[in-house]
Amino acid sequence: MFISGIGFISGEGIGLQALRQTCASPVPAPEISDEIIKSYKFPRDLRRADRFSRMCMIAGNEALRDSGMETDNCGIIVATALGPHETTFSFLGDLIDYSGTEVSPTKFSHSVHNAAASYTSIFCGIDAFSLTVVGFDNPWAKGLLAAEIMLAQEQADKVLLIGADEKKLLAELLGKLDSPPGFPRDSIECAVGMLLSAAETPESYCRVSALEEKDALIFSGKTGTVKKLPVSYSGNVFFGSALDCAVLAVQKRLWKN
Amino acid sequence: MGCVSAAGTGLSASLEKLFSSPETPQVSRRIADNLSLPVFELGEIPGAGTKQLTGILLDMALREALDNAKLNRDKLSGFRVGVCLGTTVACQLNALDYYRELRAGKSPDNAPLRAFAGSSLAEAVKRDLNLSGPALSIANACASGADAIGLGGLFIKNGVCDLVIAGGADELSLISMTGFNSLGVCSPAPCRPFDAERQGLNLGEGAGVVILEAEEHARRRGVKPEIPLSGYGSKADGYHITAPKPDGSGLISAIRKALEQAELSPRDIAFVNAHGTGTDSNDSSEALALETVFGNTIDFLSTKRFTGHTLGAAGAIECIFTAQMLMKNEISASAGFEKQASDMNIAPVRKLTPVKGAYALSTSLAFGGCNSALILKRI
Repeated sequence: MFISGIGFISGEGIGLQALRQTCASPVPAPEISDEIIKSYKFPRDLRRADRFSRMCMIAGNEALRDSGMETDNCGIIVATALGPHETTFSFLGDLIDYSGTEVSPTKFSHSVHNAAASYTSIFCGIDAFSLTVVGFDNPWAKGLLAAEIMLAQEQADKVLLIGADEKKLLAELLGKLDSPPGFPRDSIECAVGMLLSAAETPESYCRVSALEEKDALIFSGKTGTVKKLPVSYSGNVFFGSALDCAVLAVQKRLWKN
Repeated sequence: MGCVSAAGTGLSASLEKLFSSPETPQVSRRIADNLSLPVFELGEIPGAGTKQLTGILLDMALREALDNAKLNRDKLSGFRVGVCLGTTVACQLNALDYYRELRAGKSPDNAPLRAFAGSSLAEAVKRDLNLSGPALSIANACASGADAIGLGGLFIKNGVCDLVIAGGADELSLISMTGFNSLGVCSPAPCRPFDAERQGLNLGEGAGVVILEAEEHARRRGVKPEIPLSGYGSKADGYHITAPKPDGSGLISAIRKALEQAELSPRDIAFVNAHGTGTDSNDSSEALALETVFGNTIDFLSTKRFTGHTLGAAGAIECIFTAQMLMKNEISASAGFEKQASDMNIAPVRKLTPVKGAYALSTSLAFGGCNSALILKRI
């Protein structure tokens, strides 16, 4: 399959320039500010989306825009380690502060892990399928695998894959655990979106496969092939692999050009 | 296959219960919710308290499934085995007491945090059984179990794995009980799927696991395949975060995708084990979808009156019930249904009904506009 569009949001901003800054900076901004998120305009009926969903919507929409492709027969996969955990904690807070009959139905529905995929599918007009992959052992690489299988089995022509995690209380608590599984300590938060297509387009960055070789991702362009082992906790983010993949893809397009 | 739910522990107990009278859901004895919601809670669970309950339920179903497939940890080591498991509760840290202490500025014991860190269902199974294939946990809300089985089937079809452990598991929790209640979809009485006087759903808990492998692979290891997974279709509504599209178009597309993959026409489907939660929006939308695809004479039922809505486990448990009824060659009455609903043109089966064909469909709908369809075949 081909990486035909990339979207990105981190504390450094939105877009490929922010991706470059995030990777180049020795100390990238650890959190995405409210200003960055608020700078992105959403339709009125999606304004209630929580922060995690907004991160996914922005990364996903930017990837689509970068690809220049339509969303016909496009599926969506959101891959995350912790999902909307800040919303979950907020719901727990309501349970502590109020009675069980006074909790917010909106908060509850946002705390469900696939809410972000739902919001993004509505925002971007995606309806082929929706899948949310969770786990601590490199959910991004698993999302790539699921996307490639869905494309190979003709469940869609394109898949919008989004990897996202917030740096909030739960991420910080896990980072302080002093025993395995060894979560990332100095994590930053970001979301990476990739428009993956079965067919190559003029906008495609490079080809990527999670199927060709066991436990490795293969990137190939006109200038050569790179094998990347999907490390569980690469550097300082759950989505180290997602970041690495995006950078590799950008490099591949540069090589191609 | 292996399963556990309020309908029974194990396949034979569950099947026996499905052809008798359902139990009456009760207020939870384990969870203090102050809501007095009737739920389908399991009784004594061996090993409860030693680890996350969802993991224990999953282990129970997994053990039965491996036994029935004539597999064990040693035998699995010779194959590339993948894991695809659905859940909703197990992917969240829902430890209320832990969070209460954190908020109060105390330093609570990190045991719940450590348990959560090791609780990713698919990764835990991969670790415990020392497997070499990919391990994916699917969090597609109430369609998680069905999508996990569907994706697992695609793993096999694509040659990624020799075997896939697929299914779903979920426990009752305070979060899901208060959350669903806040949405106004919980029934104060036993649920009545597709009935004119339905008042909502009852929550439940359980697990369902199937072992997927290519037919030829099963025969090579001397095992007769039980039931082929013929088709899988999934479709996103792109409509609303909690409600299905009222015209049923999402589910209609999912069913048609599954039929296409199985190379079948609607008349090949003998019966449908519907999602049928007992909520207004689910049942009317689902009935419209079934009528649109199959016409008004399709045999269909819901088994939620026996199990409650087991969320991430539901799609897997109901896939297994569908398989069991196909193999038994008859379907049970749709428990809880009495009176034709005015917002539907079709009604579920009212009595024990012979299966007139070789294929059956299991449907799942979920928050987020997820619709999934699995087609099974009797050999």
